[in-house]
Amino acid sequence: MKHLNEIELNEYLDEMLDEATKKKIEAHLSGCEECRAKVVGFQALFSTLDELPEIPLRRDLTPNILANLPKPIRVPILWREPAFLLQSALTIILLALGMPILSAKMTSLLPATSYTALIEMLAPLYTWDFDTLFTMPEFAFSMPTLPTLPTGTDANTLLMLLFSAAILWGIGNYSLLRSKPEVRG
Amino acid sequence: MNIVNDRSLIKLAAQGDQDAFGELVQLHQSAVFNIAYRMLGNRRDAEDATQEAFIRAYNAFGKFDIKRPFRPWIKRIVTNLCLNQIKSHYPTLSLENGLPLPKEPNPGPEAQTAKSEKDAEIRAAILSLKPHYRAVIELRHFQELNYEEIAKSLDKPLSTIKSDLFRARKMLAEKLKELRL
Repeated sequence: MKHLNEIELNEYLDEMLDEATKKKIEAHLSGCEECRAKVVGFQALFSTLDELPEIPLRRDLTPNILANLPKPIRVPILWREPAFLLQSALTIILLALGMPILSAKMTSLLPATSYTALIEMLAPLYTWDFDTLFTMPEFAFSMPTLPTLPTGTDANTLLMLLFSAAILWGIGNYSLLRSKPEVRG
Repeated sequence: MNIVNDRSLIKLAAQGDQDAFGELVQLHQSAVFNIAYRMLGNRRDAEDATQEAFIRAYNAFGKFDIKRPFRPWIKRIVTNLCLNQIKSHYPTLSLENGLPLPKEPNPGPEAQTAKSEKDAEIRAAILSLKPHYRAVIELRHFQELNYEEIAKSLDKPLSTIKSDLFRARKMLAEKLKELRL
């Protein structure tokens, strides 16, 4: 007679078998005293382990555990941070101021530029004619005069605004860095 | 254990609320301590392992899915912690060399009763097993994991787990038979 192997015994004892296999094993056990003795022995062990009581803790471990945790973290809600709000407002203002200027500057640099004119202007690059390239008046370096804003703001006022914005931007960044949360270790 | 309450505590603890974490510790420390005690065999080491497991859990909240129950997770952490500790620090006790009693520096009054002595001998029999056998007994019988879960937890093939479990049970049954328990 072929006895049950260890896997069959394990799975039978742990009730991990399908119904058909379980019945097959039970049929074997009813006729095999040796395998039945093994099963009974293991079942006694299982009962012994099940009855093993829990050991009570003699002291609450919570205070020690909490004392050894990393410092609490402060998770900032970004959109509620004054520095973030300030910087967002500045970005919007700078974009509103800068867009007309940029647009006017682009128009002055590329007056009535059509696609064909642009190709002609860049032609020396393709032919490696550097002499022509550097003598072209369009590429002579000169500070363009800032156009006035459509709203009437002159260039000096604009520069003052940009300078103020840069200072506020710096203060905002400093404030954000100071409020950077601690990283939990 | 109130699962809903557990979940809200986990949520708060994961956000860094240490009071909520303290409540979680109070709810689960006994179960965690008992795993450590069964695996390490003495109260002081078991308390240290329990504390270490909770601190690790707190630091690893980022990896934990807060929709899942906390207890199986913390049990797994302490089991792995104890297993590593056994492997690195503890001498393997041979069954042939007789059973040592768990090291209890200050045995309480319960240890003086006959039932407690019997329990202590069962614990000692478990402790006398090699670490990997002890681990499968702990995971199967006390944490009630199935074979696949044990294999995953111990990072071993399923066939090895089945084999280890059978051998661990066989050795334990023989030892308890010798002790007439």
